[in-house]
Amino acid sequence: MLEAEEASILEKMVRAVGRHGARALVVIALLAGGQASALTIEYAADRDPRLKTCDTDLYRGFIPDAERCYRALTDSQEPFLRASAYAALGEVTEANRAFREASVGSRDPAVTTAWAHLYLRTHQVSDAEALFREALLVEPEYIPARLGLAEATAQSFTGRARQSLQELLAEFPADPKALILLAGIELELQNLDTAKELLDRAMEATEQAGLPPLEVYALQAGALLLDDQPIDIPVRAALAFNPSYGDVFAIPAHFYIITYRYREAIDLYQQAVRIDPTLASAHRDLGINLLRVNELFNARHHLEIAYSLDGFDTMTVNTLKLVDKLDGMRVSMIDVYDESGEDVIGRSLVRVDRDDADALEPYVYELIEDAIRTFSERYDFRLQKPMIVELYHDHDDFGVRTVSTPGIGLLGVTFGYLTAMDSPKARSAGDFHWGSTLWHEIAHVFTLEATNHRLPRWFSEGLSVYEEWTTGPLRDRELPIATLNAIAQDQLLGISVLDEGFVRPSYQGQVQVSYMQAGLVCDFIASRWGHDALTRMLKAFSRRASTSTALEYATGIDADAFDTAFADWLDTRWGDVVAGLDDYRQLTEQVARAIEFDDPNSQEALARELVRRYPERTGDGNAYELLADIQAERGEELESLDTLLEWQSRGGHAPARLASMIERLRAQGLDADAMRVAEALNWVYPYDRDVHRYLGDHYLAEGDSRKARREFQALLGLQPEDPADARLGLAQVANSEGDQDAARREVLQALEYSPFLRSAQRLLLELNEDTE
Amino acid sequence: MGDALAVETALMPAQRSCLVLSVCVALLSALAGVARADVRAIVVSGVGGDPEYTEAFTQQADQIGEGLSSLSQDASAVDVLHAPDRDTMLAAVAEAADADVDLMVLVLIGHGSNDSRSFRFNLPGPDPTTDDLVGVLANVKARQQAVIVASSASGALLDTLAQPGRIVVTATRSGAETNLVRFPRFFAEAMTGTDADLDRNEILTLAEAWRYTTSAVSEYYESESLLASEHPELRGDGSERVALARLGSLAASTDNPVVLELLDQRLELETAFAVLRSRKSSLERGDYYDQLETLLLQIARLQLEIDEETGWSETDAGS
Repeated sequence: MLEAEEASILEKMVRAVGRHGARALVVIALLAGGQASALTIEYAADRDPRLKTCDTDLYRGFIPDAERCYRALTDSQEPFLRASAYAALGEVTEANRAFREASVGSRDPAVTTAWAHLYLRTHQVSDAEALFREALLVEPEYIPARLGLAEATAQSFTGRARQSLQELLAEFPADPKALILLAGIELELQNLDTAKELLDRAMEATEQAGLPPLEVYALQAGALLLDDQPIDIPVRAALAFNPSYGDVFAIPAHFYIITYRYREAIDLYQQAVRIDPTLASAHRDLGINLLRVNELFNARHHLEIAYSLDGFDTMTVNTLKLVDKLDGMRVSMIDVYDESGEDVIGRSLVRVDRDDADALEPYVYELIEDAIRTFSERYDFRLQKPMIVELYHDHDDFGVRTVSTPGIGLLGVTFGYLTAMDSPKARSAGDFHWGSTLWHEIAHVFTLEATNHRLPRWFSEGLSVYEEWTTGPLRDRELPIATLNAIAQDQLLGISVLDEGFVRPSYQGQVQVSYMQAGLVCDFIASRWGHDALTRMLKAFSRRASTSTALEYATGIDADAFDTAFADWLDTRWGDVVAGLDDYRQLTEQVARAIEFDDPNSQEALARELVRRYPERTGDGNAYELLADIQAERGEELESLDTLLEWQSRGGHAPARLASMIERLRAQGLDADAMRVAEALNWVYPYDRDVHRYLGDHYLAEGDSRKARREFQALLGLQPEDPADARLGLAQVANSEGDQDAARREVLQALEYSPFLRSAQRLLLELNEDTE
Repeated sequence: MGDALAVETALMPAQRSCLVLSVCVALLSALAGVARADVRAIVVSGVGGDPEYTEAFTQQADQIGEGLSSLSQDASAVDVLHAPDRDTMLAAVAEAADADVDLMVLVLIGHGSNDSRSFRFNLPGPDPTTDDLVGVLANVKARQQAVIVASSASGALLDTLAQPGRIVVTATRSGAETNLVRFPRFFAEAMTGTDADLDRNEILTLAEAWRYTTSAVSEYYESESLLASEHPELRGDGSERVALARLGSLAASTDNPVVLELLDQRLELETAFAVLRSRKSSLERGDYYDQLETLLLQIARLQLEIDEETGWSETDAGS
């Protein structure tokens, strides 16, 4: 039975729905976290025949008749019947009360299961799961509860739900709901043949059971859509059955989303809400996807409708809150010119939290400009629309922007022309290399748009990883130990099935391994056949080629031959590291012992050996930093700095270490190296005032006014206690460019704050030709 | 007692709020009188309980004493006492309180404690209590007082010691913050370096020292990923008018009559500058900056003269 606290939460939500005017017969969708199907049809064979009579009117779209029918049943003396009628009417408060009444003294799993469905409809998945399990305790084989549990778990653990449904279908091969649920999951995984076969069986099963085929039609439309076929036939059939069945558009729209075609999904959702204006889930998903194409006004409109129809839906509530926050972010637009400076080759709209904007924008602009120039040329594609780049200083806002739910584990995400990511402020210093992440995401924008989103996941991710390594602001090549292990244990996938590593991982960490493998595959293709081969593959994918076909088109060899060649290349490039993994681990343990026993000689020897064996390793636990510390303790400052410069050049980017390197390099007069390290630090941690001041002064001295301005603007954006230096820097930059008016404005602002700042006084006198 | 320049004009909230010019001028004229104020200061380091702390307290007290000494030509204007007993400390404070000066400064550095009865500043033997401090400070003759208690639990003194004409600074906001405080370390830094001198006029005011110290304390806890266990407090008005140290080349020119004369001229310009800033919101933007430029040019030219006289160099004021 429900715990009191759980019941109370449901009741609170039930009251909330009442306040926000949920209307009768609104069946609240189950969609959460991007799940495919919202099953709204009651398939349970043991459903009360009196309810089934009303259901028939509902499924045919005869809403007033259905309402009258259910309403009549609410007068029943049977609490379970009454509860089910209220639930069908969308009157969840009454339904909840009647279910409680029905459950008193009853162990009927049908009651518990139906009550669980009420929780599912009000987006309380874990509570629903608990009730389904409670029903199964009473009757372990009770099919509606098993199906309900699978439906609930499908929202977070697709793999487990899939297995449960396969087991259930092995026992009951003609269960319509199991067939439909499993078909939806297979479509999610883009197993079209399997899904179609299940849907054929589902159609037969529904016909035999006298159930409406509406959800079968909707999923058939989804299957056709994934196959790039027109969806007219199933849509016409569904609408002939029920002219206001909006889900025949909303359910397939989801499959556009999982293939990144947001604009097409929006078209379908718009059709869904046109024929069924009460379909809350469609309004919600329409709103969420309008946000993904930056249509904020329309998005808010539909989200507000969704909220008025279903106040329980946390995705709607979260997204509406985000829309409010978007209004408060600072938006700017930049034009990107080609190298000649004459033609605009791209535009970008940048949206950054206001308190982060001044410090970040100069760097974001620079990276965007660089990326657009680089990728336009490398992928022979010009942006057709402005690219939107958003950086969130609150990770939960980014989560809501991405999946309408806070607490996700991603750093960045790209929806076509829109890229959203954590700003460096969203995480602890050094948690991630924000410049590299933005570079990765902008590569996605190009590869997705160049193919109209018709490239497999592995290739999109592979190209982005490859571009990080090849052209990005951090060109490290460290392969995580998990990837090296996967190579050692022969766990890498063949290229034709590499996508499975992303969408259907079979072991812990396989997604991350697949990212690396995809990057390595692209690296290999570029090194063997040239970068153009990657562009050729991209073009082949845009013509809807399969991986095998695109590969053969670009390289002239088939997938099997490619896998063999890739394995050879991998062995040549990484074989020694992989073969020495066990030794490497042992050496690492020896280092730990040497540290414990305070034995610097052994530490140094072991650190050198670790560096020799795996020089690319620069992340946590790398040996360079240990070696550098030992050298520094011995007074070998220059040797120590050489070690750290080698570490940094290979991708080392721990901010605290970089900051200390800058100071030490400056102390040694090694300004060129200090400058390079300072530049590198800003792409991982752009909030160090001393670094901005240092770089600004240096660029000013070197006559690079553009970079000097970037640094002083960033410094000013960090809102230092003392902004006079930053203002003076900007004045000096303007003066160096001959803009005396701007120089005067800035220097007056510097002196307004700090009237005795001598260098500002001198500049003011100089600007007034009065140096005395 | 020697001269103490004690006006700070760049960032005075009180001046910025001046709306009527004549009022501002009157106020600033009054400030100008403080420009050559006499000062008497007592700096006390308490017992460390540990050689490391003892050494740190001693060093910080010396640094602060050195900064305060730069205000005066009179070597006896500032007394630095290292771990004196209670009676010695109270006698020294009583003697300073009796001095006919414009500004009296008391700085206590060390460990403090607090219980239901009293705050105690840890010294060898019996500790001075809240009542002791209240009593000895009751008869201060100086027009302006600054009492800086840089110890744990010092917040317990805030309400008790605060009174008109006295600025009270404590390292903690209450008597309940009893961990070792970082406040004195950064306060000593402010007194001897140039970073805290925000307007770069080579005169460090209590407001500037406060701002630097609180910011540094906050950054310390943030950079160490520690929950801050001290929250400094300041009670009383006019901290921007209380000079704590002369810095750089100015510190070495306390007895140069030419410099003092030029500083008097500079004070007039600073006063005009403060008045103009206070009128910023009421002036048309272009007009304001035109007037500002004229004034700043005068200040810059005068400063060139002062710097020539004092031998100022780039290393003196960190600019």
